[in-house]
Amino acid sequence: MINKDLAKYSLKTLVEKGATKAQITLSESRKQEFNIDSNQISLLRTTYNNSLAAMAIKDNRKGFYITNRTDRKSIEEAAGMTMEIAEGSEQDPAYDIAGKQPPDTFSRGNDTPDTELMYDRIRYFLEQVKERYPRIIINQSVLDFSFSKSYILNSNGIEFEVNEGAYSIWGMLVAKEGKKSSSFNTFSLAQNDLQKDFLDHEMISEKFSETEKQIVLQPLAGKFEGNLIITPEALGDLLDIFCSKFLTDIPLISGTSLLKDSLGKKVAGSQLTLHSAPLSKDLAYNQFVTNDGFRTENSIIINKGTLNSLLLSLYGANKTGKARSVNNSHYYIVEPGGQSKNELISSVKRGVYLVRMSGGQPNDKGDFSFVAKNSFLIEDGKIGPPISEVMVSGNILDLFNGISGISRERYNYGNCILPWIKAERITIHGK
Amino acid sequence: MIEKNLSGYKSLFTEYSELRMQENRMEAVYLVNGNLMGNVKLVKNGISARVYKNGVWGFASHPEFSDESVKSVIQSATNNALFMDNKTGQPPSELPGVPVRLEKDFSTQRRRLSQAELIQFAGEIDAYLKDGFKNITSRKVAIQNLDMEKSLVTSDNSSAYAMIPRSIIYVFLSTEKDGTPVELFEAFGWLGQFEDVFREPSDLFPRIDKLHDDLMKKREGIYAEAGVKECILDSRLAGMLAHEAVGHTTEADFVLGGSVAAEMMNEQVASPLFTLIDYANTAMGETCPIPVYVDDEGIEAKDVVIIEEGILKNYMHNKDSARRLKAAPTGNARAYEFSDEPLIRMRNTAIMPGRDRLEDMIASIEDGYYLVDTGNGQADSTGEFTFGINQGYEIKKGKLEKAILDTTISGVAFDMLKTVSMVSDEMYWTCSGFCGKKQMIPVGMGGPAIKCRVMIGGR
Repeated sequence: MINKDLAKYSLKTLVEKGATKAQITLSESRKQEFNIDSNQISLLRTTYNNSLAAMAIKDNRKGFYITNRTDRKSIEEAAGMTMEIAEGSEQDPAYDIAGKQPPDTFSRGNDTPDTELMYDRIRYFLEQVKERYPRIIINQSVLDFSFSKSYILNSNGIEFEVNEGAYSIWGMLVAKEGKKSSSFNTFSLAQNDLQKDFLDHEMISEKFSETEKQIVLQPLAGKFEGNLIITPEALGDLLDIFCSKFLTDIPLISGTSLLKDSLGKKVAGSQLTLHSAPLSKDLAYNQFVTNDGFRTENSIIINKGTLNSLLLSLYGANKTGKARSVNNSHYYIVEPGGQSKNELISSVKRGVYLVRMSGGQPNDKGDFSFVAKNSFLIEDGKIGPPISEVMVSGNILDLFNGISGISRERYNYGNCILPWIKAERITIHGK
Repeated sequence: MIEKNLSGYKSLFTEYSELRMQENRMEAVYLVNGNLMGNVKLVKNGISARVYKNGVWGFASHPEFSDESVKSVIQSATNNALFMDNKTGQPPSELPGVPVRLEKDFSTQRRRLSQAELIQFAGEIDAYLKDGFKNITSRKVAIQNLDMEKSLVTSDNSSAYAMIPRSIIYVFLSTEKDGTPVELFEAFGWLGQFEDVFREPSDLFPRIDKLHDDLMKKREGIYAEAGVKECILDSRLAGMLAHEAVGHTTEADFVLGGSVAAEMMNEQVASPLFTLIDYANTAMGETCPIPVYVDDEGIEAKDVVIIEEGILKNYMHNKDSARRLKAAPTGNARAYEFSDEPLIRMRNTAIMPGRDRLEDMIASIEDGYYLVDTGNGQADSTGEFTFGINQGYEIKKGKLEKAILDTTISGVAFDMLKTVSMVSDEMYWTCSGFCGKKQMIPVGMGGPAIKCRVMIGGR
């Protein structure tokens, strides 16, 4: 068991070993997990773990050491190892830690799972899937409850305690009929309770009904420029790519980001407002303290199409001379638009309803080519057949600038809330 | 260091049980334009137990190793298995298995380098990039070392100890063309601790020079023309093809979970030129990059001939899939961390070399592409695959022409493999990546160059 005294001892040991600035995060975590494999409940898994993440700065040299041994002897060894790593480091005046802030304790969710309820929910889920979607095989699904307690302390006097517990379910499914199989489809959802059956969540049940339609796919001939209706799931992936490629430490410090001088400039369609909201009560998971030891705040990354903030850490901010982000990004919430999902679809002459993307990472320029997975052709405003081997190509900066519609409807996945968006002028080609 | 022999705890088993102790050690150094952005060591260790009862499993893990915690973990895993058995009411069943005892240790005998010396090593590479290539706009050098040390004992009398290390150096170079960045990277590394894999930074300089030359060609690159094209997939790509396009569809848990390969056993699924093997530990007389001798269920790891001359012959199994599909376990059950349960994972999956020369293969194409390297790949239950291509060239009238910019290729493996018309006589292994399933795991991939028809993205 960890406690605040042990956390204080960890920090004190690091300072006594010579750190002029130090931060420690001492955590314990518990997980209870049911697995479904190939349509059978297969495994009950219970895990415990501890973690000590120790960071030390001495003479502008920084070292970082992580271990899951948290007894006093191991803490002393970890402090010695952290200092050895720091002393061997290069000097960089940009290394720093958060300044003093009032101490606080943050809590969200329960600290123990209802194991019987978890089993009942997953059993009923499986029974309902077999009854309502007889052609579906759940390749794998995991329902878990995770709880973690963390103490975050630094030598400038910060003392934060974070307690957080939540349920989450994810799964991978296939539809099968005779010798034919659909592509894998996936679902995920995080919640603070298990009040509803999983198939009562539209974001999950629609995955099963969509996948059953995808056993026989239609190839697409030729190449055309069309629209994408990007589903919330695919939008989450695109936001991750956009932010990591252009707004975070590495592309900004290395200078490869094409948006390095774009603060205050238009980077997306004017309907797009993107929040990073780690404190949102609407989400099942929160993040209360940044990796650098600052109290987290919500922020707006893109405001009505204009880049409002970069996603720099304290080091990245010191290195580039630009402002530090008030959070660690993610926890995306995109504001709803003025049209319904169906109105967006109706406005498409020819394009693709993009559910999932598979392919290489876009390059530094933002060029991408993805295979549209679990996706459908849209023609004359109507969703048509499921498609196979269709590639969509373009540039991610052009795609964001070409956002021409955002739906009123959104899905709340527990870690983000996202709508459907319409993107213009994307190259779509089949075999 | 972990306890090598866990046999003393077997008396605590009451059902079919596995007890594993494991320590993963990672060292990472990351330089971005000379700035040390990553300087970290990570050690994660602990014990886990897995218990089987009539078709269902219980699992538990704990970070502390003591007589008390071992007893507690075994009891917790047993309780979980009994809870599952009681709830699901599956008919009685037993797992197959043949006892084996084995120890393998790839620890270096050389003096271990300190973290400061690793930083210095990376720094010398970075200085070579900075001083040697004036047209580079951004550079990254990363060292990532991983030791996986495990000991295992099972109730059916297997016991094993293994220390399998992997050491990788990644070099990323960026230049600019008309104000937009163009990047290329290469991963260097192999089985072994850093001191055994890398001797001097300068040993890598000739390969870094080649990387720079390739980047300069890519800087002048053009977009590929989208569509289905005749292509040569270089030997550096073949491993990804082996792993993603075919390998995943033939993991027995995927077979049970709806993979299209479930209906294809003993059918012609590829050209007769195509043979695919998942090697356990030794291929063609050489130790594989990620050798597995005894898997995490205590099964002696055997090579799996997945496709032989175009015919699908075998799936990769763990004990439970072998029971369900009435096959023999193959030693493919692997867990990433002490707190992970073993899953069916590939080990060293490779396409067998053929008899063609790469030059002849290129010369045989009128209008197509020579695709050299990939950054990542993804698979599907249908055999549909997608790979990111970060290096390639046009082929026009049998000759290599302009470089191409980053793109993606895709296809359906069991259609595409039937178009394989030439296979080169080379063999190239890679081991720098992780395969992601429920857990991540290091894997080896290998193969020759192949000529085939594949869909390529572009503009």
